[in-house]
Amino acid sequence: MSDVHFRFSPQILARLGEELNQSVDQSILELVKNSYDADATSCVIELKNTSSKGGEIVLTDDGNGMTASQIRDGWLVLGKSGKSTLKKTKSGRTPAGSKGLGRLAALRLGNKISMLSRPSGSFRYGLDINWRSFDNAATVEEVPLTIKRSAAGPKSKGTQIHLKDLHAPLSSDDVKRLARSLLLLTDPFENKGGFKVELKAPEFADTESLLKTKYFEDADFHLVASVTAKGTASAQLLDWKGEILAEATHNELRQNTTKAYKCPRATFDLWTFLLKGGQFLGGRRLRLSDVRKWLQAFGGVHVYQDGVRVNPYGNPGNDWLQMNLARVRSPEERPGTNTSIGRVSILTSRTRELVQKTDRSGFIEDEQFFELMQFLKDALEWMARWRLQQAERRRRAEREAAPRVAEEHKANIEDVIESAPLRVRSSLKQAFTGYAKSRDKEAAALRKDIQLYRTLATAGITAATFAHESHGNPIKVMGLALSALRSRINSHTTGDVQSKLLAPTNQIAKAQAALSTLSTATLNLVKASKRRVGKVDVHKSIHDLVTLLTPFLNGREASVTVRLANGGAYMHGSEAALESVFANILNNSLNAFRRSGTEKRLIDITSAIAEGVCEVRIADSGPGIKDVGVADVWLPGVTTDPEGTGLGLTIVSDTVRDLGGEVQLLPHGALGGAEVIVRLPLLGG
Amino acid sequence: MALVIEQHKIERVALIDDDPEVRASYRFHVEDMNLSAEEIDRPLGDIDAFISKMEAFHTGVICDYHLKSTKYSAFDGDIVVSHLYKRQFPVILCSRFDGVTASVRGLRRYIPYIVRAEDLSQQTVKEAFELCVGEFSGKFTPERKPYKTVVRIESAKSLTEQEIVFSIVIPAWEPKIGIDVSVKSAENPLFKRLLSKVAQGNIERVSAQVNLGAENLDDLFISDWTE
Repeated sequence: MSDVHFRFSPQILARLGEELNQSVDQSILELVKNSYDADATSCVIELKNTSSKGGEIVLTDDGNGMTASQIRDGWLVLGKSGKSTLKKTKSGRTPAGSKGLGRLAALRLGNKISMLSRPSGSFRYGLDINWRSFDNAATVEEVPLTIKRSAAGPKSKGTQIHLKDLHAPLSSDDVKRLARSLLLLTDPFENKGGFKVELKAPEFADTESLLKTKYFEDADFHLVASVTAKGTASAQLLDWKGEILAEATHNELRQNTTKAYKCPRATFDLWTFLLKGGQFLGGRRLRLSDVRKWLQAFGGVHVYQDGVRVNPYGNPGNDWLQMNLARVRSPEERPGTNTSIGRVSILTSRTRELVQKTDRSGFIEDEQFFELMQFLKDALEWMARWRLQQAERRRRAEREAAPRVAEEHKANIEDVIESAPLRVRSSLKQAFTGYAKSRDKEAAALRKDIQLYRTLATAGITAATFAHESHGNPIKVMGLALSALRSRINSHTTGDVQSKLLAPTNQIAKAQAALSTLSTATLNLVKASKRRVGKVDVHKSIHDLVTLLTPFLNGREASVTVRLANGGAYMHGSEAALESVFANILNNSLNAFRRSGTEKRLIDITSAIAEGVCEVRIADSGPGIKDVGVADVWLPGVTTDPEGTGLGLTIVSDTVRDLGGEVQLLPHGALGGAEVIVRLPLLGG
Repeated sequence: MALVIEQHKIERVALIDDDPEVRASYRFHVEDMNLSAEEIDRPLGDIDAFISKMEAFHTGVICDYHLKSTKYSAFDGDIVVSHLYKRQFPVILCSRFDGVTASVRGLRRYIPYIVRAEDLSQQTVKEAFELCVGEFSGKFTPERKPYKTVVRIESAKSLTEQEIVFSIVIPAWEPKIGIDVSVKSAENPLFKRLLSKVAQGNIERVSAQVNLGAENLDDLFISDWTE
């Protein structure tokens, strides 16, 4: 048999139509794109009784219409795209639809379809499809379809598609999504005419009026970045008046490399709103809640390829540039999808083109796509860097201005008091002086705290730097040389001579190991990964810390017993936070032993888990808390150790509170010395 | 003298470190094994040319991890060691810090032996070279034997244009431990696809070769990622 060919079961229609394609709104959007490609200026979609099963959708456009052969060889051929993105339509549009699979998805929404098309000329062409007639057919080709020709009346060109007997009702959310998709289909950011879509449904009117109210001019920042066909980028940051705040060259965006972006020509606009009551309303005409509502409906970065929107970029929940993630990591001065709206306009050329996936779930993620994303992210990074620099300048200015402002306020109040009735003036003066004194005292205490924190931070940074240096080569050379020395002593000497040589060698090795541990411990504490917030195990953190500190604990002749409840104790936080808590408590115990000369130096760490809370008790055999009130030990700077900072327990208390837990101190606990009880909330508790 | 392991004859060992004192200290151990030691004191230059030079003139290498503190090298020791291992060249990586970084973990399949400087001795050098040679002929220790297994990718971030860090879980090794592993995006087109999918909030699962017998995180490797 030579005349054989592939044939398709009607089930392929369900595979390609219902299962491959996306939501109702995206399916209908494909029909609208066909109207756009047919150079229509208007496309009207009417929903009839769609809130229940069996409803109808009618789409009518005033495009070029199709002849019988165009219907037969184009519209009815699935999977074939006659549309080249490089070949424009008669009115200069770049074709938006492709492959015909999206159209199939839309047509499969109903059990029956009627299509009527009127091209130029005196005839119109109709086609009826009843999907049920495919149910019993062996192959798709076996079901005959007839294109009927009839004389056209005076009515002008266009196509009408009537989807009947819908399989499923359209929910109000479906209609809202459809309204949003239709409105955003052709670039609504600029008032370019040429293609108007109307959806006859109340949801459309609401969404349309929201979209029509544009707040672009009120954005606090407008980022305008572009990349040329040769891959050279530049950016500008404008304020709400349109004045240039900053400009960046390609190298500045790329952070000092000249490498071109290998992506199609594109422009990127991002309008960012501060949405802070006091700052936002100053002098401008709008209400914060209106802008929030608008951004909620249309926020995000939308992508337009040759003037037509590409789904799903910028859809609700689609944060394809990871703006929200960046904002969470560094919330200051970064836009999120709820505080900004953006548009990326991509222009296709012969050498650079982004290709959309068959299932319309965005672009194929090839090198060009990633290069485009890199350009966009670089532009966002540049804007964030600039805004951070400004914020730092502003803070510095505020810090410098604060005392002067306070003095001005003080003088104002004193003036007001002077104008008060004589009988209350003196008591007002007295009350205000007392208040001012206590404020000054508080400010002085805070300044002292800040200084102390800065000193400690500097000490920490310096210690880490030295730890890097010392743990690097000098300690390494000592270790290598010592192990070689030991090996040579063992192989070249015997008996007494060997023992005499090995004894001091071992002493040096011990000292080298202690030095090595000291720097390892310091470096371990400052590891960046420990500051990452996520799921952490309280028990593991305690074990790791005790292991890390063992050389120091041995050096102080302190013995630590760890008896923790079975299993992991997982909570939300960072390793660094837990380490801060337990390291400071252990440090306090070691300092207490040293100050009091405690002979039997014991630290007992236990834990218990009940009702979603992990309770950790750290008890020591030191002298306990004396000479200071238990309530005061948490205050910064309160210490009975002349060499202490008085910050350890403040850090413990602040950190535990940040972790959502609580901390308690027993002046004389289970071992006679201080006992700290830390309660931390566990995940799933 | 030479150290002969199976068909490999190791006699000229190159010592790579950006500090001359450290290189000189490596020499003690190598010379005590009666092997010839040569300190590489010139800047390493281009990686490919350097690797070819090593192959032409040496039969073993001891290399420090941190090589970029000065102008000595533009790449770290993990790159040198993994390149040489892939060409069946016996190598040892010396690391001064505890804990393997995410970038080393990405190459750990090709870095069979990491030793702390103070633990370097005639015995560890011999052990390391034996381990390498054994692996070249497909003989893996239980801790290093690779198995194809499922890797769950929970988050991903692009460190630089060429480097991606995945936070993964290997259920067959330890279902409760999150592991950071750094990969070069150019090495496998799958990496960029995964980055994009995970960035959209998906949790992805792929297959990879993992030494499921590894006793701790520092010895774990993940290689040959496939969908």
